[in-house]
Amino acid sequence: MGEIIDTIVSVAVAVGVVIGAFVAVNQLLDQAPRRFWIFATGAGAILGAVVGAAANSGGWFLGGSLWPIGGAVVGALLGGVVWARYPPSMHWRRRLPDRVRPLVFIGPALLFVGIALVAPTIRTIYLSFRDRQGEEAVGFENYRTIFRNDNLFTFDGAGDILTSRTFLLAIAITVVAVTITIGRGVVRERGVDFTAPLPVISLGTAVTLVVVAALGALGGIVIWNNLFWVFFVAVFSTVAGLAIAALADHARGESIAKSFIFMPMAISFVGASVIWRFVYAFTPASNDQIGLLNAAWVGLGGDPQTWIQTQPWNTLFLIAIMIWIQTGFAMVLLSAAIKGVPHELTEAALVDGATRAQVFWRITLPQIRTTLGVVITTLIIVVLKIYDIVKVMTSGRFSTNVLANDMFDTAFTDRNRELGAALAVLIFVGVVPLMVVNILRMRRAAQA
Amino acid sequence: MTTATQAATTPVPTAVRPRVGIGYRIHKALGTIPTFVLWGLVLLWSLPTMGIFVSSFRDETAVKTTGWWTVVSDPELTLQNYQDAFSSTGAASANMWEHFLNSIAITVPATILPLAIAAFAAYAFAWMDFKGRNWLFVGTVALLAVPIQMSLIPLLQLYVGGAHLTIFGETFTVFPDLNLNGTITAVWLTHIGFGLPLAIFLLHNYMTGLPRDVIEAARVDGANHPQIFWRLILPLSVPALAAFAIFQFLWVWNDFLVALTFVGNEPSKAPLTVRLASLAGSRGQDWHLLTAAAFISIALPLVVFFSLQRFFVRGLLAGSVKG
Repeated sequence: MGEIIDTIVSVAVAVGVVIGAFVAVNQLLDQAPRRFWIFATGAGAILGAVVGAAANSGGWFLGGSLWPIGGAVVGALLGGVVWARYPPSMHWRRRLPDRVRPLVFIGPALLFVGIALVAPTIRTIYLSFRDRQGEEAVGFENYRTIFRNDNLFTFDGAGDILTSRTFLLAIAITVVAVTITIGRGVVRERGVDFTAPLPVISLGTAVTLVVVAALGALGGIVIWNNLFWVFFVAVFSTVAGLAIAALADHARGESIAKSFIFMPMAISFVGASVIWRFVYAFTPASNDQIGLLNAAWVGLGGDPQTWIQTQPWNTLFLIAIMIWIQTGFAMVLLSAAIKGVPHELTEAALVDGATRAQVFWRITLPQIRTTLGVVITTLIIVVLKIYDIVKVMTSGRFSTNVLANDMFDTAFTDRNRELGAALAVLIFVGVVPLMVVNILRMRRAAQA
Repeated sequence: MTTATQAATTPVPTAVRPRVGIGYRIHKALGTIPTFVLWGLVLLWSLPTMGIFVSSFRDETAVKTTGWWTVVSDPELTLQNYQDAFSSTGAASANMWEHFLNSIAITVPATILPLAIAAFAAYAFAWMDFKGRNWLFVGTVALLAVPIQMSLIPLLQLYVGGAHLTIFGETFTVFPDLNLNGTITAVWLTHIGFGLPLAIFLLHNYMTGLPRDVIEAARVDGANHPQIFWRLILPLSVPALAAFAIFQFLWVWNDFLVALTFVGNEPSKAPLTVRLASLAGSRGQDWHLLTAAAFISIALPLVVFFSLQRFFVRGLLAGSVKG
């Protein structure tokens, strides 16, 4: 019970302080034109408290709180007695509230964002250029360390991609698809159309196969692993979300179906990882399988597998968890976008004899491309910093490590903050282009 | 326009002979495939969660030796796993009740405070004129995508020793050492900063959409900014406030990284996610306990999700760019 009361008290105090201070400062400002002495006393007290706190450069032991309190008293006296005797012009006092008010409104937000995000980001970048003791600037040494570490980044084995069977399959698919598309264009005399479903889907499949080949060759290397995560989650969550949104549109029980697909979004990554560890659970072939996947696999005649330990494909089984979670997100956004496509357009196309598939491909998809962009950029931003799933499933072992997990271990377990900072900056650098894209898109939306 | 709508709404003339040929039947059967695929996917998406839900009510030996789907033929259920998970004594205990309270103690302030602070700021960005407004707002939006990994190392240093600046041999305390590391306060304070950009963004977008006439009229009647904010904008913004509150609640409740960084070394202060992760690490084969613990940690978010899904979706649609 004690904890509950503690919580209630601390929440009430914190909320009271934030809202109380906001109201009080606004009230003070209102007093400036008419009753200047109140304003002068209050402003003096606030400034005095800040100066007192800053002057107390030593330790903030318990007695330290005397400094800001003393400062507040002195400031209040100076303001109420001295400044109030020589009030500034009425013109200045009347304009003051409107001048200072914006700062009162955004000040608290700037304070928290500054402490929690802006200053730390700058400091992390700064730290990434320091040596391990943080004493000397070492230029790009930390980054060199990262890119020279073969566990983090290497091209060794990249050549194996070209000889892998999936790669050859991808080449074959590409050749066939291109031939058919060009051939069809020539026969029908309507020009070669690479935006038709066949070339788009088969070329997309070919690209995916090439990435699978790359996973076979470079899987297990941290930076590559991160890129595999980004690729597979962005592609499969978007495609699955789009498919479900399209299937569910106007279907019976649409909202129930969508709720169930969306549900994993409410579950923590840690919870989702435990759920899927149970799906992937392994017991020797002599026993009953308790994991759903192995039960299905054995049912089909296979031997039970240790899915999350078999390299390099185990990364795909971790990625599947993220796809399971994020598909609901993609579906919700895309479903809303599909419902936003004007009915006149689709109806007109149907009347003109288009099939439903053609309407989807030629009208709906182009209409929702902005949302597709939002979904993909958001997924990439989220996946670049993926941490929880890898931590809970494998702790980065069995060649499943990713940047965020390596960053945490380096900075907090090995206590090499500077190298950890460099790893964090790498994630940040991956996010920056998407951040720019987001801002440009918002500016465009604001102007439109 | 007219042809399109007429064609769509005109009923099929009854004179047309009903088509019941084999081709039509096949066509009709094919037409139901999308529905089957959809519900197949729904089942596939629900099975993993169903697995831990069912297992959490099964006896220890049963969970460890037979698949959870055998519950259909052998429906024997028990609450023992939940008793073990909640209890604080005994070898099988997981002490989840204490961690449940920790999660509450982190989530409540981390949801209410950013809501208040962001509402002030969003109002200023939406309805006040001041220098640098646009740049500050763009900066806030840019912060949405910054990965929290960029903040963790400096914030931990800040909470452990404060921040000090040395100028001309004189050291100034910019931020005092409040001994925050290992406290629940450190976790929710951090979440305020991380939640604010999204909160400001969502609320700003909503507030700019409110009718200008109403606000102009209030201003003509002599209301100043604080009055307009409290009496007019805030009551009108309740849907957006609710949307963000749910978003932030789920985000903080489900957070693992921030809590692990600041209370990871203080097991008694750990929220549910951190506790569940450590259980998965130390007792990974005790599925009867893990499934119950997992379900305890996801129960409240699921309730919130299913009862307030409308608001959650609204928040998602309004600002799906959080980093």
